[in-house]
Amino acid sequence: MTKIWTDISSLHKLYKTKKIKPSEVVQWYLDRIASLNPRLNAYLTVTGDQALHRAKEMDDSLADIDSNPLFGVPVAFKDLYMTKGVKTTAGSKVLENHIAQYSATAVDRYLKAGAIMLGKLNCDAWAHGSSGENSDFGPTHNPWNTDYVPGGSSSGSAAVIAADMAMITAGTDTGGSIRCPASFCGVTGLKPTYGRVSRYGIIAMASSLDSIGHLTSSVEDSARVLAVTAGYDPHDATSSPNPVTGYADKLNVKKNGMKIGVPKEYLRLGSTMTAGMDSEVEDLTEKALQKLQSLGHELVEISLPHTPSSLACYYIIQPAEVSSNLSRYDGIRYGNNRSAFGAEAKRRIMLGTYNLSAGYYDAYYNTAQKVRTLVIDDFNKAFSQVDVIAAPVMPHLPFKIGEKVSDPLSLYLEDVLTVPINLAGLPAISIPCGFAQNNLPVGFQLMAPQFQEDLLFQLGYQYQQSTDWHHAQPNL
Amino acid sequence: MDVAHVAKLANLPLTTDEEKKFQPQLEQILDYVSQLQKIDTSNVIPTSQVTGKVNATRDDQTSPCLRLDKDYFKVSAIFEND
Repeated sequence: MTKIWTDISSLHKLYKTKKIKPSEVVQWYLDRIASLNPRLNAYLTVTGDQALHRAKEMDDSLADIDSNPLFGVPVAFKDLYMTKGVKTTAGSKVLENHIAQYSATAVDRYLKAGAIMLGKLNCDAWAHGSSGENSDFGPTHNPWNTDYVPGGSSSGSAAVIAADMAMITAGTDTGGSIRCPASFCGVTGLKPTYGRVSRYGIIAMASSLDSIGHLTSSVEDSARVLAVTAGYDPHDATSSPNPVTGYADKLNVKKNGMKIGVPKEYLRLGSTMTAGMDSEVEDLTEKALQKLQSLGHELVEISLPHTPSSLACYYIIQPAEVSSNLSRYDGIRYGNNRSAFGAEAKRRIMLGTYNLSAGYYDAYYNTAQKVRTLVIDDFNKAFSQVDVIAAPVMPHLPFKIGEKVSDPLSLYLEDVLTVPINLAGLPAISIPCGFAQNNLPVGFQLMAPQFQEDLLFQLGYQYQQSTDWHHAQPNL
Repeated sequence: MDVAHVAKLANLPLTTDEEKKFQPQLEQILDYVSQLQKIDTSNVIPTSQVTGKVNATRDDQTSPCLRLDKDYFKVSAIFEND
């Protein structure tokens, strides 16, 4: 069967006019997964039988389509998401045979809206990583060039969208873990405002930084998904009571003359922060900015002076919270014992334990919390001058699998452009903006004030209406 | 950093090889993050969370209790009668 649908909207039109059925769509994706997953290692668990069973039920209930915004849409979840009755590993040997006893609120919302789960996706173990290489089950490969990393930690989630092995994938972003792989795989990845989507039932990495988001092939689909997952959840005390607007409905009302801030510290990275920035990343980002300008918006240079300190701040706070969250894995009630942790998990647990220990708490953790306030202030000042901020996502292009594994700090430095908004709890979206050498995708990101995801969708949609990057597909 | 001591605090069993491997890596990372100490944060209030929410509580709600048998609560058997 050939694929005759493109996005969620086109899929629903075909369902309504009975040109296609949910079970046919699911079978198409399952066949594709069977064919591609051995090469890509994106899926850890495929729930084929359940998916077909559910799809067949839905074949007979097309009347429900109007009240179910994700009716018959295949979705796959990063293996941090608890899915009742289905193996949930967090990408780690500690949980290699762990069956979830309940489902995350976000999972329930996807399924209640009619989405059909195809399986669980590979990721850096415990979300520790920006390349996918820290998975205890082997790295996922970048579908655009399988010698290269897909980015992380939502590595499987991005590869699956790029390789068309599901229509929506769920991910998490604590320091860039949705935006990085979205950029490296040429797909659209949304990190919502902290607290916009419930964290309940999603294996915690750093509780004050974790954001629950998703990846899709278009901004429009991304907007449709957020309307389903967003909203207050009594099970998550940090979830926001802020009302959820119908994000996708507003896309066609074109907003003109937005002020787009370009942080001078981001676009010309000196060697003090990372090993500079790849010229192709700079060029493609500049082109994206020029495109936004040509669509009727104004570019404004802004300054985020605490950018150089943001990374250090993040790599104190995050490991501290990680060390606390991972202390529950004692191998007594479930899972394997703590010797099953991989090297990166052990490093972060030790860093965090040290930074929180007596005698060091003040110099490290407490100081980092103060610097966090300064980072937030930078953004507040910037947003008093501009509506959104635009920037590259990763300073360098995707690298070859195995190239950077021996130097943990050099990998941490790649997060410099993504962590600041996690510290500030702001929303951001990564949108594909071109290709560099070796067929490697590059994305750029837009950032907005808290709860203004509608600005991200609006601008992203305008960009995608007049560019084709998000339609490109790898040769697999 | 006394890696063996920190590993003990974190209940992480490490081999001596692992201790040797992690020591320089952790020192390098700590060295990098220590740059924060150069910033003047004397008048800055620390941020622990970014929701702006305070005291997320709800009123107590009662729900049906376990069954009572005089002064005891009746629950399902944990051990089977073999």
